[in-house]
Amino acid sequence: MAEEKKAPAKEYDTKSRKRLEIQRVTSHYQKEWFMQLKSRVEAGEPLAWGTATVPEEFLCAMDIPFVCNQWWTAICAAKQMGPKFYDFLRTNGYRNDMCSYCSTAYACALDPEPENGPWGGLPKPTVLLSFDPCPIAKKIDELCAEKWGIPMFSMPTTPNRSTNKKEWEVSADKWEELIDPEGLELRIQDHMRMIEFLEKHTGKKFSMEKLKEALNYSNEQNRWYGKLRDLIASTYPAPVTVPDTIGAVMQAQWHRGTKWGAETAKAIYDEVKAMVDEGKSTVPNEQVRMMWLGRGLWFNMAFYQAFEEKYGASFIWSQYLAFGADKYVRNFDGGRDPIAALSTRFCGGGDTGLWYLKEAKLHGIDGVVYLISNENCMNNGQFAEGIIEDLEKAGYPVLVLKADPADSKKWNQETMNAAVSEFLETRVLPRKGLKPYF
Amino acid sequence: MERDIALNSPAYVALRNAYVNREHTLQALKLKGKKIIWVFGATAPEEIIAAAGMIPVRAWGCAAPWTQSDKYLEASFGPVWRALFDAVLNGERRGIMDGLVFSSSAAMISKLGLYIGKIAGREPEKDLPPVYSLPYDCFHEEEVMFPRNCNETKRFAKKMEEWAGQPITEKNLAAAVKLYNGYRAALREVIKYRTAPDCRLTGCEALTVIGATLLMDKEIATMLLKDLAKELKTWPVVDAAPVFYSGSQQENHLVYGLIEELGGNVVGEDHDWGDRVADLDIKAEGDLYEAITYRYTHMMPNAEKSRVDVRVELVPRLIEGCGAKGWVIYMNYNDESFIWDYPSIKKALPEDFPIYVAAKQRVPFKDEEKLREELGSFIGGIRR
Ligand code: SF4
Repeated sequence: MAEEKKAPAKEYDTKSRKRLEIQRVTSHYQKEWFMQLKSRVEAGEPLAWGTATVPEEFLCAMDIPFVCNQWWTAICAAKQMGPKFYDFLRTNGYRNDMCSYCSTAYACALDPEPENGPWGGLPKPTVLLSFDPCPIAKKIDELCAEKWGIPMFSMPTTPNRSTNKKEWEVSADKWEELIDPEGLELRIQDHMRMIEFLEKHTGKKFSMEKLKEALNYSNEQNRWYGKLRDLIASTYPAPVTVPDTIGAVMQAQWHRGTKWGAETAKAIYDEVKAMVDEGKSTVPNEQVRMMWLGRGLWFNMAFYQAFEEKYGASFIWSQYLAFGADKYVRNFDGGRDPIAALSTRFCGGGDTGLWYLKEAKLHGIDGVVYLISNENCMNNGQFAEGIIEDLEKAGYPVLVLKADPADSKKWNQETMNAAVSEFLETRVLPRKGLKPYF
Repeated sequence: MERDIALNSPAYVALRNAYVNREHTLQALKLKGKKIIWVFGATAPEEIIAAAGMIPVRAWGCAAPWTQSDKYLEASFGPVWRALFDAVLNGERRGIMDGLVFSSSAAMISKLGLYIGKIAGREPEKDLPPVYSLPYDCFHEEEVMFPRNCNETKRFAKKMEEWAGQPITEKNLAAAVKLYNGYRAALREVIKYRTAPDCRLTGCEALTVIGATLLMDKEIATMLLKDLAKELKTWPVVDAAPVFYSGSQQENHLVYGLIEELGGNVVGEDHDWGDRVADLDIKAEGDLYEAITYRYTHMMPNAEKSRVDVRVELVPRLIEGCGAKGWVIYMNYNDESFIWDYPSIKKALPEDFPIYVAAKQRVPFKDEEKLREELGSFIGGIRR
């Protein structure tokens, strides 16, 4: 296990090498989209703010643009602005070393010159949708809403009494099995209340037809992610790695429910498929296939690529693509209710450890690096030790990196590099009788 | 600090014995032939457990080393939670532990319930007691959540009937409500003597009294509390700087003792082993399940599971009510939800109101010298 110690001044590349055309396209698009969004909001259009688990399809159905907290955190981190923002927390009496993953927006809201944020700063949202079950995140959302002077809808956490453990097996078609009937009914009621709240505070109207359209786009998009995931899993060497796709995948994911989201997912797949057809790989010297568990290292995407040349270590799995592949699609054929379908997403339940094991096997994984950021997040890592034990027992060596995924100030490149290198040299490569290339 | 006057009081000494010899207290209860149900946190209705013919007791942690925690828990679990986790998993108290109820007082308590449940399934040889988690929601709109919380109470009651092997009759439930209301009233009669400036009970003494009753038969506890209340008006006034305490729950005298040693005295607090216990009675009329739910979802809001605006209204009121002249916020590492309330609450207090914040604390103290120095000068400032 490696832990962050006081980090030395940064002298390393943090940006990953862009190796796919689609990365350029989506990067360009997200900036353009954001600038248009700013103009729309400045012209009086509403803007919703919320967490990654907000069912965006509802917002698409109401034509309310949405900015996701985690996306904004990743943008701030990638632009190395985290430390600046977390300082605003400190000067306002908060701790600047707690909850960095969930407090970026609040930190931005405390900026006396918000226009200096990424791309001219975040426009002020109209409503806040608080969907994170963490009680601290709820407080931070409340503070954000207060600071912005906007209303907040807070989603209750409904206990899930379903005994289903393998949610990926039922989530697309038999989603009714993901939660007990009483729990589902309560979640439907909560989503209906959210619709009412949005109608009241944005003046926009909900349309069932538009919801169906949005859910169709979202399903299409995530089916492409499923195909992409399967393609990567079954191709040796893998055509692409996590940093090759994570940005594009997530940029489209934050637009799920739109035509652009679905088309972009297909474009990512098409580009990777073409690579496979041509026998190309971004890591042609792949020796070992690595899994990255936990949150993405948004401020240092280059880290994932740092072990390719010397070790042939290719990080081919992260939860971000796999979530889309296994957990998002909700088919509502046969007259089934799309609101009910969406109410089963992020409803708790399932066994994450079993899912990791299934994915590790599917991808032919050789080693697992598990980023745990619970030094500043009391909710990160859910029974992580049990998960690690099960992975190890199943033959997947695990290295834990204890680090903050959002605040680059605390990252110690040297320690982390050394830890992963040692892990590869002592535990991963020897299992296959391999050695570093140099 | 416990003063001689306290140590010479038969009522106090009886309470103290229960507090100090916790295992022994439970072993004595066990001799009554009833099941002992450990309740984690403050928001699970003990009345229901009692009405089912079992004995609810508040779960407390064991001393370090916490080897089971080191094996299973992430770093995010602070010392209080580690101590609780090991208290279950090390098996030493298994003979006085027939069931585990996890309230939703804190996210980490809910997580402990989840983890222990998982371990029970993975390692049946550990022979862990049955686990139940009670997920009350106090964050959201009352009109939405109250009926849901009432359903949770009823579900909980069913489970307790199952554990006890007997039904909860209306009569038994009414009796349990009456007993607990009487106990809380008696406790309030005692803790009112904490209020400064006419404070007659030190923070440590208050912790002893409150903590003891969490582990005792409530009839006996009520009797002792009534006896103690009669004596308290004759106890000498505590000459110390009165402070209000927020932060990690204090199951023992470690932190309050240090505060007292440095010339301060905790006259009120908002954690699960303090004044919170005595808050709010249950209306003994109408639908008792609703009345019980109301009490457990409306009792003094703790820091973690309530909104910032609720805390902004509550904490200054509590501080004023107990006559505190300063506010100590003491947080174990990763137990730091308080930090998100604190700047807003601060604004609601007089501008120069003394506040001391100790973050990232450990058990035993990590840097005791620094803590002593800072806390000492904070308390000295108030005394001056
Ligand atoms: S504890 Fe973790 S999940 Fe909760 S607000 Fe903090 S960073 Fe977010």
